[in-house]
Amino acid sequence: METNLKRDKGVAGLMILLSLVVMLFVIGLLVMIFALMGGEMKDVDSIKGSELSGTVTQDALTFSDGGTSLTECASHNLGVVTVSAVINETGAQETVPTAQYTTANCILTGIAGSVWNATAVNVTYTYVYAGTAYNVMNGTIAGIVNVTDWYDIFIVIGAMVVLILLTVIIIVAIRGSGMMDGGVATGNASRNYGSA
Amino acid sequence: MRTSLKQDKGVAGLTILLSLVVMLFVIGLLVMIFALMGGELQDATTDPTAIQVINDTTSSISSVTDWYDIFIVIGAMVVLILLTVIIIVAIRGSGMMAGSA
Repeated sequence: METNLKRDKGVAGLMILLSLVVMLFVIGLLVMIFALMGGEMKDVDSIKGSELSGTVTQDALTFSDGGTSLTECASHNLGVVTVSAVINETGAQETVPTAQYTTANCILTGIAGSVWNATAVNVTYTYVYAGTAYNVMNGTIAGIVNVTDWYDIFIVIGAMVVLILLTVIIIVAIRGSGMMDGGVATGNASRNYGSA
Repeated sequence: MRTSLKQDKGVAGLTILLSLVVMLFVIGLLVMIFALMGGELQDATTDPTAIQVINDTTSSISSVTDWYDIFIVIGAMVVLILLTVIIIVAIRGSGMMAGSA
């Protein structure tokens, strides 16, 4: 098979660096697109809240206008609660009116200055949370975005190639000039070092 | 049969990394779809054995993404090795080393 090799002179491997930079940019662009696509996919409500819990009751939680974490919900990714009942644990076990609290994600927050503050309550709720599909897409994005961590070292090594080839060209030029003892303009000097 | 070999210069295996990134994303997409399908299948049946089987299946294939980091590291190492080979060939080709061809 006939092989046609390029033998450009004086290029000192700059094509390597050029190819490297272009390729790194293309890979970075693709990774960015994938990260955007993955982010949109995992943010779809049906994926973020793909799992539905059964009914959970947590006892002896302290009602607070500073917010109380519903730990069963909080143990999952992106949990969002729907509270069905908040009952005073002591005394007559009154139901806390829904107007006395709000919920956000896995936090039950009493209204400011609520009379139920610091009361031990039993909270019954259900919640939705992100399941396996969300975790998979999250892991996919986290995995492929690691590619860019290697860019610095690729650039450094690519630059080293160019510097080495430049050094070779300089050494050959000096030897070929006859300024150094034993320097000859034949042999190595006749080779093409800039075509790597 | 005539063989046509690509003789790209200076790419240093970066196309391997490019292919790897694309492949990992496509695998992740497929696994996510399987996870969604598995979840729906689990919800659609009441047989405990069937639920267990599909749960195990979904859990197993979902763990694929745990390996993505190591795939990326190995892919990057391949590129680095090929870059190093370019350096070595450049040094040997320079004639600066004794015994170089």
